[in-house]
Amino acid sequence: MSVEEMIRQELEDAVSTVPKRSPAGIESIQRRGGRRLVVARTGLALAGVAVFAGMFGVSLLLAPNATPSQATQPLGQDGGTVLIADDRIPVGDLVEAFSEGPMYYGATSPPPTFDTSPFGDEIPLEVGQVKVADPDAWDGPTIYIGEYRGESIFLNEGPFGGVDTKCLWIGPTPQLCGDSGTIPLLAPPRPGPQLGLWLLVPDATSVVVLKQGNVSIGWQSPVSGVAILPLPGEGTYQLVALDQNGVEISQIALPFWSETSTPAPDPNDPTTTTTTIP
Amino acid sequence: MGTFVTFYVSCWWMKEVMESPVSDSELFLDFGVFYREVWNRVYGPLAVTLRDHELAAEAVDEAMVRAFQKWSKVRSYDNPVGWVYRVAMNYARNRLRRRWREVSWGAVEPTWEMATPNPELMAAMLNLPIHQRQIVVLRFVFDWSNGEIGNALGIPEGTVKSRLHRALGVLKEVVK
Repeated sequence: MSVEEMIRQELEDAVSTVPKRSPAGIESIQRRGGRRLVVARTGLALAGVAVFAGMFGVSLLLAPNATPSQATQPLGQDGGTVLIADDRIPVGDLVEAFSEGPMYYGATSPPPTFDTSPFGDEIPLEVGQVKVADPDAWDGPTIYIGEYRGESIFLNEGPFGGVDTKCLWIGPTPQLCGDSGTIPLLAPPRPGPQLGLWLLVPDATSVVVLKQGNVSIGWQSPVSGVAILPLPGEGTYQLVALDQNGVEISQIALPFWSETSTPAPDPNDPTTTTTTIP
Repeated sequence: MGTFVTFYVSCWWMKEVMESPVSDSELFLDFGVFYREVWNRVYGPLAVTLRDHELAAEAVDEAMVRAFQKWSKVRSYDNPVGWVYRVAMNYARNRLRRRWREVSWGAVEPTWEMATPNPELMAAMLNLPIHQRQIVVLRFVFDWSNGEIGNALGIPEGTVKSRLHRALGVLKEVVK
């Protein structure tokens, strides 16, 4: 039996093990589809009324023309974007076109026009020699974010559990995959300090400041919306996104506690309660 | 000119509103046949692709609702089954995105007991990247050509070929 025949047989067997399900039924499908058609046609009817009203000179208050939020932009050029797991992410120039998809340099953030010295040292994501372990293992476009401790960092679309998600690679293996955007992330344990990550920082972000309480620890200019900041130890941190003028755009909390330690309750947090067991 | 455009748009609107496929009994019957023939044909392979039979059933139902809404158009496509598969797959992917906000790297077990004669080969198939896995399923379960798969998924035939080649390379290693 050839390999192809074995695969075919195995898949047929696998499909036969899928629990039998009864379809929702043609009536249900038609009812649901019909309901949506009514809604759609009502919308069309309202649009038609608006057109007729306009023809007869009735002034209507209309929303200003919307700008397409996801305009297609040229790829591989400065200012272009690529689609990664349904998010349009800005990229720079083309690094190389691999067989399964192109790799781009990350897009730099707008440079800050304010004094960054109060926020501590810059923790830059530097561009270096791209070290690719196995580009053929990747599908679709990949963004080269920069270097960290001698390892190249990439962002691309990776498969996980049947769904395409954003994957961040530090070195040759994917470190984190998921749909995290504004969710703060911790990279899995690796040599060196724990890394705090923020994927998809807000569009106008110029710098991301790492803070603990009121103390600024350092800052970074995100690349293609990605900020990666080493955490000096356990604690609850804040990642603060500032625009080019130093105005805060957004802020997320990033708690980092090892499994063996427990964070001390915050006395100012109204949701925190302390129970004493006799 | 403006009046002409307005008149034209109005006529189009009247046509859209009045021309309801819901009232077309022939289309109803036609869609009913398609629905009965295709639902299970897509459900099983999609469940294997997604490793989740509940989600597969929900996705096929949703794709069928959308097919029904556009049936006069969808029925004229070269491969309406491919259209349903693609819509169902996209729906499932969006649902999964909402469900898994954050994941760690690793395999996910199927949602049902999948006992097959060659568990190693099946495990390798289930661990293929989704891009490759769905192409393997479409090729070997649906018996579609590279061109048909490309049309169904909206990707170039060359991409189908290279992904299939890569997937078969992995699977052949396991079979050796």
